[in-house]
Amino acid sequence: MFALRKFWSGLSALFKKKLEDGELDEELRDFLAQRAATKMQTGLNREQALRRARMEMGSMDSVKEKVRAVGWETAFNSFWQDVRYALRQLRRNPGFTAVAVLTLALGIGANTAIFSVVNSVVLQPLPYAHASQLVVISEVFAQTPAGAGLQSSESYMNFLDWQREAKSFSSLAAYQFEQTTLTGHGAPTIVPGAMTSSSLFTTLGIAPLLGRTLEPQDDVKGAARVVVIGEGLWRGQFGADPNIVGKSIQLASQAFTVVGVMPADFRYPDQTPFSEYWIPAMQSASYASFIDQRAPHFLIMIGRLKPGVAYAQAESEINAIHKVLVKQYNTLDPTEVLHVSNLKRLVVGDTCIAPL
Amino acid sequence: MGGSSESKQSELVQGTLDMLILKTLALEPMHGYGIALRIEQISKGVFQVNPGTLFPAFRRLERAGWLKCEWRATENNRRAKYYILTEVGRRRLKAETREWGRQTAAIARILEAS
Repeated sequence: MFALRKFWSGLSALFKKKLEDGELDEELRDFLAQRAATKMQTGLNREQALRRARMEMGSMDSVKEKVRAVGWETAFNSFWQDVRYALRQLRRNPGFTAVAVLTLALGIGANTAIFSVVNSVVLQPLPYAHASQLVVISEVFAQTPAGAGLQSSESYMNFLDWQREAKSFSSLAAYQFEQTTLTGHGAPTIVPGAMTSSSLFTTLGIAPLLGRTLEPQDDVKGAARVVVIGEGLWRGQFGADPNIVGKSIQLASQAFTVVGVMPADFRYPDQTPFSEYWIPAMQSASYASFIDQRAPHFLIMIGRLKPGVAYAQAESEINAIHKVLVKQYNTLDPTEVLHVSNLKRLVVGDTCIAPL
Repeated sequence: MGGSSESKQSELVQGTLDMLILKTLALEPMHGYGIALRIEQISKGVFQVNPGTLFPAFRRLERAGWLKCEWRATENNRRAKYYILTEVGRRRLKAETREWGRQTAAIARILEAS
């Protein structure tokens, strides 16, 4: 109430400045005249009295300045004067103005650009449900050089053992980027994509736009060839055919049945260009020669921790399982140590802290 | 108010001018010079009121809603800005007077203790 009154009287004073100034002038002159008149009663002549009164009062302008300084609108007025002065100066020096504006524009632009990258890559959580539960499993060997950064690569056979044995995870998945040639729809096209365990979709928790995602029965060796395609490919190559599910397409000269379409914002594993198809790891022509061996490590392994499970807990469990595997299979490197860290590390790497 | 036998003029005690203005106006509406004169006379010339502090105080009290003002004709038929105590100002004066009494009594007790 009180503040409102102050605000309001300041505002009205802003608009009635001329009037108020005139009134104040009149009031002060009046004050001076009366003071002088009083002094004349003590025997001074008119001139002397007036001079005395003036001396006592000091400069009229300084009194007016003090009165004006009472309200907030004075600060606003002098700010406005400064702004106008600045604008006049800028107009007078177009060269300086251009340099200043350009410097600011570049500075702001560069900051905005960098911030939007840092924001989307580092600050925002990954766009999946309960993203803090998502982890990447990486490994370090005796001969891994220090500071080598994150390395995630496993054999499919080892992955299957972890998937079966590890209790810390609600889901584990292994995948690798690949590309294939799509034929039979106009000109042959190279399409980027991934070969993956069917669990990739449940791990990340993303539902298909149409049909279904890959499912455990697709992981089995000798299962029917199936593919999940991305919305981009579906719209671009198949004209958004609503009956695409169940149709057969030619990938690397082999027939795959489309079982589902993923929404456009799902493009994991996120690389440029974005993944546009996903096939079961077992059915990848590119990796067929070592999919059933233990020594070749070529799959990135990610997982979703069960609620309440700490990274360290999951880490000791998978290392324990690995020790058993090492005893069983002499092709495995016994110096391998596994690490569990937030999936973000896979995207941002160990540079995560640097931009901040 | 601090009865003094000296004819020397003193500065007002910091922060008391507002109270003195309110008190002066409690009797009747007055114009600026009238208020200054009244304070000087009643204090028997101990306090000299300078326009440089008086007019900012008017503005401040007006903004606070304790005074309002009005242009009126004076006794000798000129126009002058008259200050009028509002109801809020009257309550404020009461509060300030009470507080002043409390403080001066406390100060007196301190000075008299030995």
